[in-house]
Amino acid sequence: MPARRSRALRRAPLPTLALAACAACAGPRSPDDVPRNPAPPPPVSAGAGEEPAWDEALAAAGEPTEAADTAGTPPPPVDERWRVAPAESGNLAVRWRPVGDGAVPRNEPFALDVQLFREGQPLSGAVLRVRGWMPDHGHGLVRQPTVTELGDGNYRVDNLLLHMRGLWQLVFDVGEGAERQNVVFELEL
Amino acid sequence: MTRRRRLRAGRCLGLAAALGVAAMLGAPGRGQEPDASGPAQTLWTPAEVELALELSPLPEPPPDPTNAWYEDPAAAALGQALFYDRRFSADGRTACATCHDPSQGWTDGRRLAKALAFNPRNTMSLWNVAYNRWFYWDGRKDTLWSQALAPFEDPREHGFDRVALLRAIAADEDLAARYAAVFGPLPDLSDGERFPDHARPVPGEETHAHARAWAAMAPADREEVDRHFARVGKAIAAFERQIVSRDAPFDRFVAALRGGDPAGFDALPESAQRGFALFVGEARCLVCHDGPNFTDGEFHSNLFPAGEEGGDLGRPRGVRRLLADPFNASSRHADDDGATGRVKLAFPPRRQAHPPGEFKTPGLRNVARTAPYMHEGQVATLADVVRFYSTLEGAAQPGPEGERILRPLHLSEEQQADLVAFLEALTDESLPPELLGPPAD
Ligand code: HEC
Ligand code: HEC
Repeated sequence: MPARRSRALRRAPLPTLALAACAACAGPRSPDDVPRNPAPPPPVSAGAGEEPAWDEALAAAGEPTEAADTAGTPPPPVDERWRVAPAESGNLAVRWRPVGDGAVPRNEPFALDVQLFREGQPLSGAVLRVRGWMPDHGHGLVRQPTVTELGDGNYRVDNLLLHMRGLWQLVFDVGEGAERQNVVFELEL
Repeated sequence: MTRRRRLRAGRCLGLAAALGVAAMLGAPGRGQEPDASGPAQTLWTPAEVELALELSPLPEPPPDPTNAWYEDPAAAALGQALFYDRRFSADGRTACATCHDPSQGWTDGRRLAKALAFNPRNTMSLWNVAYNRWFYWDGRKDTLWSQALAPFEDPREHGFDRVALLRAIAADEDLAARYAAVFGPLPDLSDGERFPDHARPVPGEETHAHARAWAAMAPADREEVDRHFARVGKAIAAFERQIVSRDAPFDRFVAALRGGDPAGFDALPESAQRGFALFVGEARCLVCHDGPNFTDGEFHSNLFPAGEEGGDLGRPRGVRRLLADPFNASSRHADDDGATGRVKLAFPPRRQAHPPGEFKTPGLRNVARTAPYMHEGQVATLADVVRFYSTLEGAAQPGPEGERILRPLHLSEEQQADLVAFLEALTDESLPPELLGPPAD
């Protein structure tokens, strides 16, 4: 497992890809609707001129241990297998780890423990959806993951299946009332 | 030279050494003379060795919790008898083995299947069928036993029906005894009022004589027939599970790398070794043909131009049919209370389907023995297959939402020959001879 994980970490231009994926995953589509082939990534929206939340989100996503020290990130993880990232707005954070030995298997179903935080506090009652996307292939998941809320900001995602080698983006789509936010993690299988 | 650099820098060095194949690190790079000081056992880089170790050996077929008899030898023997028996067909001449002929790689050598009528698809080989996650080119079946039910009632294949099938088994003393020993006695179907000569559901054709006869039966009788029909499939699946190929030259070579019988080092010619390196590397075949059975078990378009049939969308229709199938893994006929079905039959929503269709990635073991290729049998030889992947000449356009994985590989003639040599090195047709015909006793 460590070899695989570290290979993932060495993969370079994470932020751009993640932004592109997020742009493709958000938008007016119904939340379940994974595009089979995303439109070409829009130019990275340099509007504010900087994207601190994303940089840190992805840095954090890439580091299994360290929590980024932006406002709103959860308390430092007790278990090094947690992977953490704040969402674009900075006050939502998602962390997850595979149930079991901590490895993400290729082409075998697996489950995730997920914790959601808002302003550093456990976020209960959110509508969590999880999608997967292979940006280099232009396709998503072949199975529908199911999400169960466990309470205290804890959620469990079952029936994830990443059926191919290569770069995957896991999109955590968090809904609260009318608001939705995506947090994207990348991993190389 | 990148190869040499990869040799030294590889994170696999440790692994390779741990596996006792460190000697090969002294092996020459491609195109170099063997170094007299070290055995030149493989042309592969450590990274390629690591992949080879992932792809061989092929483990035992996975368990099938939906079939309580999947490992039962008596069920397998019954299934074997049924598989080779021509009587369960409208013309009295068609058995499973008519199209899945063990002497022809468990297929029929034809471009498109034909028994009672043409089928617009190529007959699939049954080699390593028990490893599959889905069945048929479009995956419209999710278990091996449920697949085995369909040919009996397909008007192009056996053209039979479930009531007649159970009655024919009951009428044969040997089969009836075998059945009873495994599953308990068959139901008594002698009451012609309750059990007509021929009856089956005929989806989309409610006025068909078989459909009307089926509809006229009491629900409990239909249920009873279905329960036993499903068991016939479970027996056939237990037989098919033994059709396993996993001792190919490639496997013997990898076993030697692991420290097994060194004779295995002679099993894989250099051309096939180079072909493997292409397969997992530059040619990117592994993207879809992954795992020790050389398939990811899922569905893709490889953009091969359709044959005359055309218009076959494959997977999307397969999913719809599977979800509507009364014998799917979520049905009461599955022996695990639907546990398998609950996970397997959860499909993400799909958007519009477009041609070219998506089809199951075929496993590649024994592929050299199962020509012609693709779901329409439109490709005659492995050389033709590889040439297409290399040039993508005449490739179908991916649909607007289709995945984009393939790109022209521009392989040289020699590289194409190497890839074919590797595919040929996946051949192992050894099976106990007693499986190649009806059971002896
Ligand atoms: C007329 C020829 C014919 C007969 C008879 C026939 N098959 Fe097939 N078989 C095919 C064809 C064609 C396909 C692929 C069809 C498709 O995908 O729509 C196939 C597919 C299969 C598959 C799927 C393999 C995979 O990897 O998905 C299995 C298993 C199978 N047949 C078993 C059987 C059994 C068991 C019987 C007898 C009960 C049988 N077949 C009778 C032609 C035949
Ligand atoms: C995008 C996924 C994908 C990639 C990459 C891919 N294949 Fe395939 N392959 C398929 C699919 C899907 C089929 C079946 C297509 C059909 O029936 O229409 C197939 C069919 C085949 C067949 C015919 C098997 C049979 O039983 O009919 C061979 C041989 C084959 N591929 C070899 C290769 C080789 C060699 C490479 C690398 C050069 C490769 N494939 C790359 C998906 C892929």
